[in-house]
Amino acid sequence: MTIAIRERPPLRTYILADTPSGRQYKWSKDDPNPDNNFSGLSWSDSMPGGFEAMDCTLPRKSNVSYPDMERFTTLTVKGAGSETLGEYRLERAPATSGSQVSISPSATGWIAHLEDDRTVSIIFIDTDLSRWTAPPSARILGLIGFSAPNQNAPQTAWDSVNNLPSLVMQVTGTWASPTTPRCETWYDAGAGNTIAMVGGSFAGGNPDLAWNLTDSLVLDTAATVNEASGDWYTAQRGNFGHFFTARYRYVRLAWFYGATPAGTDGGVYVVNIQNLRIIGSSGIPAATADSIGATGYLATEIMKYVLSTWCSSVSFTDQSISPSSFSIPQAAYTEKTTAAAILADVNSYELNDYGVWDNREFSMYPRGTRGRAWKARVAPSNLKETGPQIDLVWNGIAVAYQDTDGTTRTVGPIGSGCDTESAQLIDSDPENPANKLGVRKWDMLVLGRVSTLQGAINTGAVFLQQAKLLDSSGQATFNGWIEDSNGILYPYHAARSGDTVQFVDASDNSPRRIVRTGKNDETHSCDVDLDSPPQGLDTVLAQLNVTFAARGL
Amino acid sequence: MSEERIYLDPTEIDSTRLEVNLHDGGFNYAIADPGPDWGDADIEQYLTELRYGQVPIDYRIPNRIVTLPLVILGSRTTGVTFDEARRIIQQKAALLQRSGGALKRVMGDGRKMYLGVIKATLRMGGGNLPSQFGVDADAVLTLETLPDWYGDSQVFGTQIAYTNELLNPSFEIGALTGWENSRAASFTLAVTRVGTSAYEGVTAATFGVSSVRGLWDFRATAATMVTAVAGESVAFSGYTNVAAPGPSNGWYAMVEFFRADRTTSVGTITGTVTRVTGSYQRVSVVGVTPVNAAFARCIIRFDENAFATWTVIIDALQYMRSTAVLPDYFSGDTPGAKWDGVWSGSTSSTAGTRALVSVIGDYPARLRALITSRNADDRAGMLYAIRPAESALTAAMDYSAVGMTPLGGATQTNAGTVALIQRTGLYPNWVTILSTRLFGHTGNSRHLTHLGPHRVWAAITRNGGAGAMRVRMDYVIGSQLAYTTGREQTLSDGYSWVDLGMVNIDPINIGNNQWEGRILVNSPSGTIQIVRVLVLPVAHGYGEINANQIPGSPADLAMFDTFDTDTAGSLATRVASLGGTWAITTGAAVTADPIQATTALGYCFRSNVPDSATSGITYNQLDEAELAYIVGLSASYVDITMNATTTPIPLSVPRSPNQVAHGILARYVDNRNWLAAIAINSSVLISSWTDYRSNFAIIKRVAGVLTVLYSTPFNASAFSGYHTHRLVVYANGVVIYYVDGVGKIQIVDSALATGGVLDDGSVGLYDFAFASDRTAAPASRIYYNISASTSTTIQDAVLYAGRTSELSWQGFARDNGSGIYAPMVIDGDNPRLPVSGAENRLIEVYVNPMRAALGQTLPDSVQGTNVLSVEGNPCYLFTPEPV
Repeated sequence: MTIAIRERPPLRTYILADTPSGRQYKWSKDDPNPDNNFSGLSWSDSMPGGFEAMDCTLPRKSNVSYPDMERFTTLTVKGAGSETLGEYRLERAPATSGSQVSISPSATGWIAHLEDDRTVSIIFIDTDLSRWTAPPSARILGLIGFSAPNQNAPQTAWDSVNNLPSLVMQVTGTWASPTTPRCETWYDAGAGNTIAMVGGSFAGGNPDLAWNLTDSLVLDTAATVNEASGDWYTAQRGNFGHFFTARYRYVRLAWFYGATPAGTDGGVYVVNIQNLRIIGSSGIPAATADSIGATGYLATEIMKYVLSTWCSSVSFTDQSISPSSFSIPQAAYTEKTTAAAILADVNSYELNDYGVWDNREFSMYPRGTRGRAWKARVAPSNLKETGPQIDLVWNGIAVAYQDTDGTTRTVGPIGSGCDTESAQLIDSDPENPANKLGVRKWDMLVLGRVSTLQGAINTGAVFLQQAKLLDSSGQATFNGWIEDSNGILYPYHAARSGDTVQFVDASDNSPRRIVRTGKNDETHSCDVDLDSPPQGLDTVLAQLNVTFAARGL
Repeated sequence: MSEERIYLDPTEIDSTRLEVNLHDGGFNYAIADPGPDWGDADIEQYLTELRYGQVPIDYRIPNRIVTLPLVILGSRTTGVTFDEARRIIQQKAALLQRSGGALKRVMGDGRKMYLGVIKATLRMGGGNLPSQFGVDADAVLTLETLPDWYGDSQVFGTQIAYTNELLNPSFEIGALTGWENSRAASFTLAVTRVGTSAYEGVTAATFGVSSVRGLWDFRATAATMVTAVAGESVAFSGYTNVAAPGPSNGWYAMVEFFRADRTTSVGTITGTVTRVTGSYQRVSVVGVTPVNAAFARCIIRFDENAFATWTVIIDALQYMRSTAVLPDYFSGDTPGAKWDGVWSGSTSSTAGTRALVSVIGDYPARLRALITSRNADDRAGMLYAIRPAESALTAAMDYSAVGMTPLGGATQTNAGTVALIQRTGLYPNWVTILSTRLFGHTGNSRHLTHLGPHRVWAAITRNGGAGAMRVRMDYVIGSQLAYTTGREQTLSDGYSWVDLGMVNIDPINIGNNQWEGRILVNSPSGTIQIVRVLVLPVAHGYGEINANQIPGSPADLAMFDTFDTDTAGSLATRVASLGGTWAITTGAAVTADPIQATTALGYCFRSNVPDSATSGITYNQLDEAELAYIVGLSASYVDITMNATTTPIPLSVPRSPNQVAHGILARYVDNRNWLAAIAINSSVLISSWTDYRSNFAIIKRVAGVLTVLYSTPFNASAFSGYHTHRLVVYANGVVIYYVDGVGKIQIVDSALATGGVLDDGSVGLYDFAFASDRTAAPASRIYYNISASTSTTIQDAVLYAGRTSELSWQGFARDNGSGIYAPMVIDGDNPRLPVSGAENRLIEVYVNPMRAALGQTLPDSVQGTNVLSVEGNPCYLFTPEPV
């Protein structure tokens, strides 16, 4: 039998620099110009996030302006065969003088582009009743002029009959001619935002169907231009939904009576609005809808719109973004923010994987559905494991959240005594140590945003999944080459965050997820964080936008 | 043997520098005792550590430290005083320290070796010798150099380029096209599928003989004779498998030459008679074309005189001109070769540009490969790869797809004059359409056998289909059961070279080393065609070179306007900087608000007043909504390149539903007949677009009817950036659309071709704005960098037609037609050549220039055989000893 000589893939690297002005340069160790012979190259990636950071040093003079040191220059780390290993944008290039002159370019991944524009503002769906307020002062003055003074500000309440949050509009007392009673509530989409639809349902209102309930899309606070509906209040219970032709910033709901004089002293004339929602003018397809209109959107559709509109330097395709599954019931960003903040918010429901990878392409997909599988051994990889900790074991979780009416409500496992109980918030895995012992190891999370019941349940369920990974977190180092699941050798730098690695001789040899890699060209090594970032629990809590409730200990 | 000499900055390396002889016979400089230290010790120690595994993972040879003890003195003979000699060496050391240089060592036998100098330090001697006697006997020059010695440039080897002139050489099309039987009344010639009994492919020509006596020729028809040139060496061969007993007098190859009338014979050349039956025998003949010959007919002649019964299989015929040698049989199906036209109906020739060279030295040589174009058009992309040569066809670098195995309903066919694998009726699921298992080639009908890391490319045409058409290549090694999933690529419309990713082929200890790649496609509809597959090794040197776009020559400018000196105001009636006067032509839905010129700002703009007075503008109204500004309304261009950069301003206005369309016009005839390329935000204006992203589009209007020729969504909103449109329209109706320097699409439209309604016309701008929200204005639009050129050469090239490019260890440069070599970046290694070593292995250099830049769509036209000269400097790690 002949001995096959295994030709290991070459490990050499080089860097392409593509400047914003369209010029291309190369830094490599085989370049005859010493200015381009880099050293100390290190680069990293993470999941979520994609390519993270890159640093190297060039033997260059500090008093020369080099054309390839233009800010936002794309630095692409490449391996033999033109394989892309990392893609970053140049952010800093500090220079050092003295006995050795050098410039040390420092770059970050293009995911940072999602934070470049800090004026992002958009409404997809807003079900937050607290954003409905009394009319603006200009409108109040105008109503007085129309002999229809606004009576009361709207109030939010829990409609125990329908078990729903409710917006209450009411008029009281009698009124004399020429005055007619009126209660208006306004929604302000915020500067730069426009509204495409308003809808909701009403119930428990006044039995006198001569009362009117209308909506209007309004241009300005004085309501000089508006697109109004007809009277919706033709029964005590019903739905309304108005898809507007124009696109303005404000919507108002009006509850009023046309005849005067009328009413009785001490009379209270009420309408309760539920399922109230504002749909922004993004035009993205709804994930779920009821008879009124859209009730939620997918995180992936939201991100497609956000990236399309505010992040011109990253791309995506229908293939790079796989549809998420949870229909997000609340996604309104009326204050100026960033695309990254929106991404963090909409992704907190499911914790999908995302990142900006090769060719500045943004990808987003259910966790663990992509990536390569690697094999390694414990000792050569210097595997360090966190190991099991009882503090990180849960078999049930409760979630406290602020509902759309502003009240704090709770949802928890069956038997928790929360406002709502759900079997989704129990981990019934027989391998869970708490289940083996038969004890309740339950805790309560506090959600840091307005949510609905289903949103809170989803967040709790994702937490239970992620918490189980904390025990197996750890670090390892791949030196030189790494083997894939088919036994094929690859350079150390082929491993990326989002891949999995199986330590075939570990006590637990199940695949572990790589959540961060740090590669070093000098040592030809790749340091990886496994299953959970070193920060562990804190990172999971931050990604889900939750905290633990005070434990009172 | 004369004395060894050492020079700094030799003229052979840089003729602009002063050469300094450090051992000039004792006039000004001499090497002092103990002589030079060439720094071998450190390198030897490093290599020893490497040998015993002490150097982890990977290595680079450390730089060499050369120490030269010097004696410096003055000389009346040379006229250079001590001070001058000292100053020269000081200045030379300073120059070497600052800018580097070279050292030359002339051996006793006259051989020259060079070192690349990176740094230099000079220590002058102390004492009173210099001041009193004008001699410095203790100077030491220390040089840091690259580790390898290199010799003078030399030619390492020559190019490999063959053509098989015969059509249908192995009958794979299942017909005898081009071949005939000289005695049709007595023998029935047929093409039969003989499967693994075929020498090439799966079919062959067959016939049976029973009790017939005389000469019988299997020959090319008169119509398919090959061109002959008197005095030219030629070689013909074919494979015959004759069942026993065979013709009693044997059989042989011959070529008969004819005058131009194809009937008057002027001579023959005849090969050796064979009588070996029961296996394939190659019959061949090599000779010289006789005078007066204009055509050659290839013949295999059988001579039967015994009334016996036997059968013959004939396969794999080859006729080559300008050669007196007979290389292995090849057709366009053979690895490393391609069909020059249709499958089995054209000549075949070497694929790519390839050379086999022998490289001396003990360290990878400094390559200088000169590629001279023999193409009629420029080449914008190039791939190169270098490796120790592989003779196995299963480990070639360049394959015709038709030489591989179609799967999943794909078939070998032709599209126009191109042989390819085609799969029609695609559907939105992954389907395997091609295996890299070689199709045919008895004895070679097997999987590929490359070793090590390789990058795979394929020339693929996407033909129609809606939505994303994705391809990938999965691969499996040896006896593994699981395919490694490749990286997906999304195809653009048209022909492009597609990167199918890396494959790492590990050897196996038992059995034949082999691997298989499978190309899969996933598309809602459409057709995919695969023309070629490249498997390029990356271990020893691999690179990609791409050309960028270039501005047109000023001499070819038809119009431009800079808006930087004149008065502001409506563009209508404004005289452009060059090319005529702007004129306005509007559609029915356009307001009178004009595009305004600016003063000294360098752009023109249109305000945010929307055009549409009504809501609900739809696809069919886009034609009525145009606002066209035309320069030189009476001007009429055929070949034209129109450019402009456009952007909406401000970037932060509400996005939807305020749509704007802004772009450029070409071939403008009147407001019912024009071609435009535009950026348009959102989907309202064109209802067929369901994507809410912005789109780039090419639209034409002919006789008032609007057609969207192309549209593609892009992620950046039309409100979020500047986009440079470039529309290149050719006389033959071809349109190429570039956005921001990247080719988006190439299409052909008959209306734009000669005789079409839009076969010529003027150029201009297209603008339209619509707002359903009449109080929230759309963005205003800015236009600048407006120019048109009658030149349609807008792409730089890595290899200009008829010119030479240089691929070297220092980088890549191309002659742009003016004789100036301009550098270009290699996305890959600066190549060196592995040494041939004691086994004298040949080194293979492969270069493949493509017409389109990598990642862009442009069909490869017929590629001539480029000339490849592989030169360079042999390198040595150990100091060569004088011989």
